[in-house]
Amino acid sequence: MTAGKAAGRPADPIARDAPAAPPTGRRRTLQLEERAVRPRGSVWSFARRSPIGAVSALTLLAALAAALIGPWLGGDPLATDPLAVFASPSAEYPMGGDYLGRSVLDRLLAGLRVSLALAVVAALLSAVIGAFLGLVAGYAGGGVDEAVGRLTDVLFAFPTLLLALLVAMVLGPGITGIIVTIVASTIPIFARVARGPTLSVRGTEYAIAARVGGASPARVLFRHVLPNITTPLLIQLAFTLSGALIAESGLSFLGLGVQPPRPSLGSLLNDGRTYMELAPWTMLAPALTLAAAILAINLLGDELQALIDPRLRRR
Amino acid sequence: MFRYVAQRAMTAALTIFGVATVVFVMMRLVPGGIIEALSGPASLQSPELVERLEEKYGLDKPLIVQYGLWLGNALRGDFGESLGTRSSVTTELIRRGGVTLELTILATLVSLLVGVPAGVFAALRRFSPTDGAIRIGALVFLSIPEFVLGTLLIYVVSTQGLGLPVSGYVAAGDDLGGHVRSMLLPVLSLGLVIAAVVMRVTRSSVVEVLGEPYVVTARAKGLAARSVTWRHVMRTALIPTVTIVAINTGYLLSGAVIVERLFSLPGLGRYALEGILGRDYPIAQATVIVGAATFVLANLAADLFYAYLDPRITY
Repeated sequence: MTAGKAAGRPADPIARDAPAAPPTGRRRTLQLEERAVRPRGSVWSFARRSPIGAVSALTLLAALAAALIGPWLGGDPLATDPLAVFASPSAEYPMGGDYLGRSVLDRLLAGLRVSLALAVVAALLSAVIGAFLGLVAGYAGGGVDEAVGRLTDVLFAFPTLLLALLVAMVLGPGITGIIVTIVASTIPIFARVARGPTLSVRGTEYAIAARVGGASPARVLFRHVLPNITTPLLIQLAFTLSGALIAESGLSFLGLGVQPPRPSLGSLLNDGRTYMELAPWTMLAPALTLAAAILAINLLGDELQALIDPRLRRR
Repeated sequence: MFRYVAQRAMTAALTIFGVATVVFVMMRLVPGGIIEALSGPASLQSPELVERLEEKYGLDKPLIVQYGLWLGNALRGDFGESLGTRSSVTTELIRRGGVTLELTILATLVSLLVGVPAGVFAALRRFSPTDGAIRIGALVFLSIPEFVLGTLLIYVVSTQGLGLPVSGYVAAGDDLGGHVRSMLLPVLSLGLVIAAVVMRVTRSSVVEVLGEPYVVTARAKGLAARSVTWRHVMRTALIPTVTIVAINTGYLLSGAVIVERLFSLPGLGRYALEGILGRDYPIAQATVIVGAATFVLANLAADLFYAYLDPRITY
């Protein structure tokens, strides 16, 4: 009932909304004290407290940098070289050549860019729409809340891939279909994440004071409620990002997404697996890149959540 | 209890009905129109075919009548015939359903056989290095999408000369040994990802139960550690594990599409994909409806099973 299910991954309640084992009484007190004296975290203190999180963040930054500036530094991902067909990795082709003699490195960088861009756009779009729906539903209550609740229930009832098949049936395979699928399947999560806290903030004294003072609903929502829910939304965004990356590459892998000759991590993997015995690098490059990126996002999300939710902390 | 069952069954029926309605609407949005969608380019040569279709689906009647006829056909399990092969979609659904059913059941078994012992082991030794290793392993498997895992498995098996088939399907009736070998890699690709989820759920649930007062009591009155673990802890702790299996049906269905394509298994998932990519709409609509119905029914089963297992839940 969480990020996983909707975004093409197995439903895994542990990392998302359910806290792990509640610590014993003594441990909990210790934690509260530690939390009380802990100064506000900086990037540096996060890195010291969570080396895994820091490594993940660096991996992600490297992937983003490679996706942003890589295609400028490298060559044309579509240029073919008859002499480089299935070429082993060399100085000229650091990751070898593919079945048309295209540079695997250049295609990987271009594919990474396409995949990350699609995932980021879809996740952000979903976060904005979903959070807006959740805010409005939580704040307005009544019929609006009910309507949004039904809508998210229906969207939740569709497994991601079935939704993707349905969308592909009407729109045909392509990038638009991928974005529609990812957004539609992840909106309900953001709506739920936003709705709960909105309900509780609405009843707080400062929110009531703002309302009594004549603030418009929009002002109360954006000035008083939104700042209170940015943290859960950001964590959810991290998990949605990895889910979107999996969904995009999975759909492109099936031929429902990014169409050749345009590269994406999924279509590269699909190309590469056909020739994996002749030229394993064409398959290994996108496979390992994809796994590393998703693992980094998940680890970072877990670490951030553990940092914020004291029930998940160990020491 | 009866009221609860009836209520949940009602909701499930309504959801399936909703999905069927969405598919009906989608079929009428398909580019080229409904006649071409149901008959393909063949309709251009054969006025009789068009006439037959118009009669069967009442295409000359008002939309609401068409909707009724369509629902009636779907309820009787009549999904028309494939545009490509002119074979009955229903016959094909039953034949291929067996392959998918076997794949998903075996994958679930693998996930339980690997995930439950690992989770229990990690929980009993929590915060030890073994626990850490198991948890990191689970996160890694959770982060590798099944199509990447499957591709890597194929690569390892084919380069190491392990003698396992990496593609194709052998029917159990033809050659039982060959059948088992042909299913091994697909089942592992699908099962290991879910094993990671099962492990995480089992671990956190066991850890939680270990802290319960009645477990402390059992220990305090001098019962052997093993007896406490198996007779007091496991009985309660495995409830969430059972339900997570059912909750992941949606993921299994999505995963089956990908794994069947990767390993060329003639299951429902590949049938759906053939239908979508080949613009064979009768296949596409039938597989989407069957998939959604399976998902809804599995979730219903999970809810009821949970209510049955946990005596604290009353309705």
